[in-house]
Amino acid sequence: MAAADSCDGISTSGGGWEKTVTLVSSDDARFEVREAAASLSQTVRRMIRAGGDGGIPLPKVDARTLSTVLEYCNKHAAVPAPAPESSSAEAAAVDLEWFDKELMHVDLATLCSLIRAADYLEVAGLLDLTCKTVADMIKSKTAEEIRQMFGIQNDFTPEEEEQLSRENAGVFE
Amino acid sequence: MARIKRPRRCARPISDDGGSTDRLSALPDNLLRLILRCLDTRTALSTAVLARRWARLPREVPALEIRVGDVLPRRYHHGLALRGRSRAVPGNLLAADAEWEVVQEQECPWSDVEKMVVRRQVRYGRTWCRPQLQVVVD
Repeated sequence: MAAADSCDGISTSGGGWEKTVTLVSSDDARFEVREAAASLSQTVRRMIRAGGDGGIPLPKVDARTLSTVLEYCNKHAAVPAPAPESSSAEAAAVDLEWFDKELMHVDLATLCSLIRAADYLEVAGLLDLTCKTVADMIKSKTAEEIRQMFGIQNDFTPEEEEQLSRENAGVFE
Repeated sequence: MARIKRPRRCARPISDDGGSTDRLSALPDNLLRLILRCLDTRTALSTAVLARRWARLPREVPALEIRVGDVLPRRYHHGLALRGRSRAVPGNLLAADAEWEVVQEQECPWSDVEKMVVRRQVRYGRTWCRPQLQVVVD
């Protein structure tokens, strides 16, 4: 599980030469990434098309978050899809699923940063994955448990709260 | 080439800040709505009780359907199921706009209070689950 750290030397992997792009985070860290992986981000893809030297600036994403996003992109752009229904396709799908699950074992602050980054960078798969992860954290919990978990302030007045519980009584029992 | 360690994984994906910072609510509305869209109808609707902002968020549940089991207690299901069958709607789907109004006017074994709850829940769901709400009879 060191995909983010393995960006170095990717351009020569497999003996072939693969086009890379340089992404620059808000805190000026530079990441050299295969273009195929970076293009999972529609935002980056547009910027590659627009051209320009000295790396693609991503002022809304810090290095820590960007490294995780790129870990996702590197993994998901790693293999050309094998023939469907073959056993290797199935194995690859299981592997990806496991990878995604592992990637989501982060604290809530990181998860929220990832949601913002996936939205800004337009990495559809990662946005879906992160939103589903938060949704799963909400499921089967009481309102108080959810507030506690996410630190949400209950700003209803006592009267409003009474009305809400009256409305919901018998409905969410 | 910067070499940056990825964030350390924690055993369970829970808040590590003691709940003092509301990072989830710091997300803009469009992203919170994306999260709500991943939830079943019942849970998506029930998040309205968390806080004012959550109450105001429109629930654009993409499935465009409400399962009766999602919004109504079990004791209402039987009556609904009977009506669903008697209307012989394919797949037991009741189009919310048309059929439900009719149901209200039929002679009905439910008490006035029960009818009110059903009506309110359908209205509640209809407001939040645009554009076309369908009620699925389980």
